[in-house]
Amino acid sequence: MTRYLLRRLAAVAGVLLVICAVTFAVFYVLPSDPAAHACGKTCTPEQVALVRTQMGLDRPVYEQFGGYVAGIFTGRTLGDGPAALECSVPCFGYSYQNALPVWDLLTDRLPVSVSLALGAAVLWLAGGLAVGLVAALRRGTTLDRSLMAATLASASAPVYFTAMMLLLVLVQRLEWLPYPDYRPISEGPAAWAGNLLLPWMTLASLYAAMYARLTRASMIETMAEPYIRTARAKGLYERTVVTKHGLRSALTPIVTIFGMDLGGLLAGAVITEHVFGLPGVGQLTYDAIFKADQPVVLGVTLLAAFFITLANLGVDLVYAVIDPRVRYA
Amino acid sequence: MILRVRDLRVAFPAGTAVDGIGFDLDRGRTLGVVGESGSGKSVSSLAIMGLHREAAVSGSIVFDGEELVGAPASRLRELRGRRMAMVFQDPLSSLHPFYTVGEQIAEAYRLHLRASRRVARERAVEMLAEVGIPEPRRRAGEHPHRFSGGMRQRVMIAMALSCEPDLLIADEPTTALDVTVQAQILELIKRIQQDRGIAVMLITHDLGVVARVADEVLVMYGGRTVEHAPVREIFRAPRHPYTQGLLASAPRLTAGSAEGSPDPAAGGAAGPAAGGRLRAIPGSPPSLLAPPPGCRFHPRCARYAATPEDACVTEAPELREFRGPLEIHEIREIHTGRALRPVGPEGAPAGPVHRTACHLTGTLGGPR
Amino acid sequence: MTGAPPTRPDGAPGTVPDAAPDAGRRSTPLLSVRDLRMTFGKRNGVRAVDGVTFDVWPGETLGLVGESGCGKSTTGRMIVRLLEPTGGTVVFDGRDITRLGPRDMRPFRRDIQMIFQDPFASLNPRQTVERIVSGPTRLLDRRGVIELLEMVGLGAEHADRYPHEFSGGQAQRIGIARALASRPRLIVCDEPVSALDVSIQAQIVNLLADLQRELDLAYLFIAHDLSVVRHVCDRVAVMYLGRVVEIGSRDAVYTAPAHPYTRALLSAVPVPDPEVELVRERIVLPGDPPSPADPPPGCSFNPRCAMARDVCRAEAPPLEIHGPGEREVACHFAG
Repeated sequence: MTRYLLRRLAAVAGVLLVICAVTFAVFYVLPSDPAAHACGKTCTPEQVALVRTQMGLDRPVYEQFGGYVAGIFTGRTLGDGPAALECSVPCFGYSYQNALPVWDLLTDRLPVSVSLALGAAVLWLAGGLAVGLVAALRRGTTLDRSLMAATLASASAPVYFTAMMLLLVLVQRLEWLPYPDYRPISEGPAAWAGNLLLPWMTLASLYAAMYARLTRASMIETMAEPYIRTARAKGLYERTVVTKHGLRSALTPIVTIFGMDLGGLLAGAVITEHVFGLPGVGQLTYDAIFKADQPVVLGVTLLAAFFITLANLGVDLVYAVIDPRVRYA
Repeated sequence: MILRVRDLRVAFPAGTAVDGIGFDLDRGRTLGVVGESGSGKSVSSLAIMGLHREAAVSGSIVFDGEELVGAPASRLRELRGRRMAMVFQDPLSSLHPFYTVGEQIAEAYRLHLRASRRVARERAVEMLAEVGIPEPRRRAGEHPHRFSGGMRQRVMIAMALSCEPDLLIADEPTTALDVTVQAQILELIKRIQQDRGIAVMLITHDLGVVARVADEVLVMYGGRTVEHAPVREIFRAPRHPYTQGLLASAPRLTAGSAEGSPDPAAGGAAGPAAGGRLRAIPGSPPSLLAPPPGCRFHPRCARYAATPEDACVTEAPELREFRGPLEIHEIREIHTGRALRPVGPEGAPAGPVHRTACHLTGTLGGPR
Repeated sequence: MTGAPPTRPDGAPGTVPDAAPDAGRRSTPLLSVRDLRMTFGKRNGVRAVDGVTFDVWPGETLGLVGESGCGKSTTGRMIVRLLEPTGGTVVFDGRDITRLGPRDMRPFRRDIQMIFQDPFASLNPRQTVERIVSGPTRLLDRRGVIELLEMVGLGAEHADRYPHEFSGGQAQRIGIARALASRPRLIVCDEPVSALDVSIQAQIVNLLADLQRELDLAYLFIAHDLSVVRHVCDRVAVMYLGRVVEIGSRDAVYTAPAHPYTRALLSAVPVPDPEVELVRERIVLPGDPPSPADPPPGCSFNPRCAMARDVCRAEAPPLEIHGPGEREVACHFAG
């Protein structure tokens, strides 16, 4: 088991390195001049040249890449002389436009995105599984059909539309909720959750709809398995048959999707954060793309890749726990 | 009498799968139910277990004096696994892949006998030992995919027997298994039945399996019973053209037994070649959606082809009793629920009767 | 049955000589399999087929029987080259076809056809029967297809239908018609009747026998049902764990089985006669067939064999001639 884990972690590191290289290559092959963007519109050509040296853009690509990777583990000094910038471990580059190391920007924004993703995940799992389960067990009834129609509508509504509708109804008209204004959890869980409720609902409505459909399909398939008939033939309560024998099997495909979805969201829900003005990684990404702040975009990409590969590893480990056939394979 | 079935009908939205079957089953006896796909044999057994969810079950199923048709679902659940248990065809897909076999065997025992986790686990180990699984204590902690096909079927049997049921229904229990393993499982079912004196309903398409383990045989065709007799009678003197056709069409393992007429053309060209033609039944089993009118077998029936009679097309033949080759007695009791077995001269019960449902059997009599 | 087999549309004479038995042709086997091997996986490979040798003569039926995992289907698949053998040779009509490339193999693919167990799985559900039977290379025109359909007991009215409109027995007839389209000389039948109802099995068995007689076909008949095999085969090979343990004429194998496994196998088959069942001697083998991934040393049957001695655990017995009927047995204590 330990050896398996180590092997998988090594694979994660490999994947990250490849993603890093690809992203790096894409950005530094683009025709725009990162130095000019980094410096700003008012820079003189001399200032741009200085920034270019600081960023190491005058050196060959592989050297730049080597320096970037090394910086993650050892930290680095960008440029030299009085204009030199200290970028401490782990150095994911420096955002000249924000005048901060990328790592500091990320760690600053991460709690917002994590709060958003985790809260939404709880809501969509609870809602999606419940709706899917009810629909599967009442398959073919009016209830099933209406639930599935609702999920279809919910899944196809764009996030900004859902967000606007929720704002309009819950904040403007009914005034049940305040306009979202992010508060860290350190200021009290009530303030934290209250202000995040609307973004959570927005994000969850999209995912819950997909999870409901997935759960329904998976559950219908599982309940047709011969071992479900065996469970009934043993005289088990229908409740036990559904939960212990049915749901446990039906959940395995959902675990996979959930890992990927959560991994992706941890690195920021761009549109949701933007719509609600939440200062998360998604918002940072949005700004960075608009301002062509390439060190930040690179950092965010790596962060997303890290979360997704890690989530994948988590999924595989969970799989080994639920499905013994995987364990022995 | 542990099980008494009368005029059992199972109707699905798409069509009627079982159309009025009836039989009795005693403790210590094995009833073989034979039929091809679509004959309704499995559907009947699921109806007895109360496992149909989208079908209308009517008629009467009396289990140990208690009517099950129309009984509340909660009562059926109490009986399932406790007093009647079932073994299915494919032991791998019938076992849950995520739980150890010990857990799966213990589950019903804990529920029905309110046993503690530890006691139930001991029971599981004991049952595994009883069905002949070596190192039962260790194997109880393993998952089904670690077992061979035959061992999985033993696990299924252990699971079915854990609460000491009175009735065991085995639906094609050896069809998915190899011949040598099939022999083991049949021996096991036989031994357990004798040791415990339970009633066994064995559903199969294999006439050989029936000949090996059954006391009585019910032959089903198109959702109806066509013949019901003690096992020796069915094989020695089959009366229904379908039963006769089935027996004649099956190739034999040993020379000299009743086999198709040797074909001289085959003998010449290929030396001691294929042993002649088999006497196949023409056509295919009927569809549930559009069963033929009258006797469901008449479109394939050799006897009907030889001496067609209107009744075969217009009227469903009733199951009638035979006492002697040409004597026919109506069995009215089937529908009224009165004692089925004729009473012998001194009031002692006679053996099970030979009944068949064919308009033409009476006129032609005798087998073949 | 209708008359002559259909001719190919290209007008080329068929490869099969007229059905009149020709004594001279019988002197060479149609198919010779020598020491055929199939190992799956590289390291600690699973030896699914471990040195199988047999001949199939023109116009005869050789039965290949054994339990699941004995390698009988793998052997059949290697002969039609659905699998590439990892060792041994397959000689068809005097020519070694084991290492032929796709181009050189083409004529032999016409000569050697296969019928599968699940008739529906082997028919493309989106093609009409006419297209299925005429094959991807349009081997036959519509008239030829209809002739073939009539030959297998179907009719012209079936040509434009799709597989799902047929029953299992009819679908298997279509599979047989498709196999016949290229006028093969050998058909590998892989469990051709085991998915069918008992009453339908007999129809297909009879059809195969009729076709064999009319078209002078040879069959390699792979099956686990020993009663069916006895009925259709001239000779029988019994496989256990990737090897042939006994091969000989049908009567020799069925009436006087010499290998303890064959004896147990035959005695395990339930016979549809309760009176025979009552008195019949039955050898119930202990345990399961071992996995080819982990074969026992020596004779692979020794852990389940009542006769096993030390020599059985030490060396694998070779296949040797034993008694009349050209019967060969691989057992240290045959007889």
